[in-house]
Amino acid sequence: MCSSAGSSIVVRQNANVRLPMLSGSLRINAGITFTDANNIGDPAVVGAINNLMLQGTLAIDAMAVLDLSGSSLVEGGTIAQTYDFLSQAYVRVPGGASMTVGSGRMTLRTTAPFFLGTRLLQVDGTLNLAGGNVTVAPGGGQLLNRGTLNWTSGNVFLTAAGAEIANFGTLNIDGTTARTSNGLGRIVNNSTGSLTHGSTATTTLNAALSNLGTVMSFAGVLNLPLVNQLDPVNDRVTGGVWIVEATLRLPANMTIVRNAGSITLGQLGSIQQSSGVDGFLLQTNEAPGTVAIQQTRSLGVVVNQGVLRAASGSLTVSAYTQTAGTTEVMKGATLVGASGPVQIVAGEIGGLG
Amino acid sequence: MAVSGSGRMSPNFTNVGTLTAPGSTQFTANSKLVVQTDGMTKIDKLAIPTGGASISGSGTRLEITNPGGVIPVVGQRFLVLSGAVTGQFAFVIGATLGNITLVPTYSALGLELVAT
Repeated sequence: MCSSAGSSIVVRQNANVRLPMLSGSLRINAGITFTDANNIGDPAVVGAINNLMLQGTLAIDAMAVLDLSGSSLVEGGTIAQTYDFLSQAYVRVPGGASMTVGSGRMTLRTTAPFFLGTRLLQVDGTLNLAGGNVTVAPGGGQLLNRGTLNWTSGNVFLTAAGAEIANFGTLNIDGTTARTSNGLGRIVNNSTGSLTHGSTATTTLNAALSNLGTVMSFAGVLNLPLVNQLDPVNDRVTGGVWIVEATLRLPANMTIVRNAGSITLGQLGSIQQSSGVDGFLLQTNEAPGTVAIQQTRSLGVVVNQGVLRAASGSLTVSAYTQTAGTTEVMKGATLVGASGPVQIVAGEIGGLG
Repeated sequence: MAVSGSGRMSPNFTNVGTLTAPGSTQFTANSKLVVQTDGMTKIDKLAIPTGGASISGSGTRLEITNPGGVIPVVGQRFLVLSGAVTGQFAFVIGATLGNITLVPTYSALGLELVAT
């Protein structure tokens, strides 16, 4: 066991010597750096730590390996893998092990893989995926986010059936690089989860995504080519909450014609086909679907059975029939039937605000 | 705009307010106009600046809600529908507020409720 309180330690390896295997617990209260400053190919290794309890800073520099074989906890400190062109540093959570980012923060920006085995990496604090590759591999590992997962660079490979990113917190996907998930895994944005895109970049999430929570596009372009709730065969949104303040691109060959989810089309929002042309051509808003339009827009013949809200601007429809549900016209907004009537056969129409 | 069947129109769902219809508005059989009043000076209003309103068919209803329970005084007038009106609502629901009755009065102004 190694203990340090209030001071920093640098473990620098200059010879072909492996650091000892630590089979007990390692508690770091201050800062500790494992580095291989001079010797390429002679990695500093911290291996087989059963329990890492981190309250300080643990930096894993070039060629170093942190191998967590037990249950480890980042409970207020930071694990940071620094990048250089020689770096092969990685954190490994092998099968049977787990690691929790409590209120702490872990940043992965190595060019080498982060291995996640059959168990999970649980994030209750902040995990920054800032580069390199994360592999959720054999046996169906899980990256469980209940805190904040900032995915700004690099790829996550979900290479086995059952391997998944399960998001119950905030998953920020940004940056200019396509986010890739190949293999059989998926990303599940659960009911309490929000998946957000807030940078001006164009970001493609190639992972299979199931949105049971909220997807928010605040800036730039978010491409979502493969989403369970976006059905290109029937041009139908089957569920999920979609808040579009910037550009959201749909799967190939899809326009939104039918909706059973919840869509907010913001003032500057644009829902586009994969080719970039307008992809919001709503014809039927099915119960329990909700559509809120906060911009001036024209649509064709629309049937509403859920909730349709003209939230701001002018919503012009060729004709409008409500057979169930509610039509809400916010203060300052208008709903106009351009060439046919606005018919309320059932349900309610009224003002708000 | 046409409200028919079991369709309802409320000028404001949450507060007392005005909803402006962009053109003529028809209330046909069994449809409803639902207005809310604060009992003092305000009531929901459906404004139809062009085209006017037509009310026809059996079972049409004007429903009045008064969630605050404030009772208007005799002689007070509430304009609930502005614009030309043809026809009348078959039923008025919720017109009795305490010892006051809101009586629908159709005129060139539209439809007013007069506290009597």
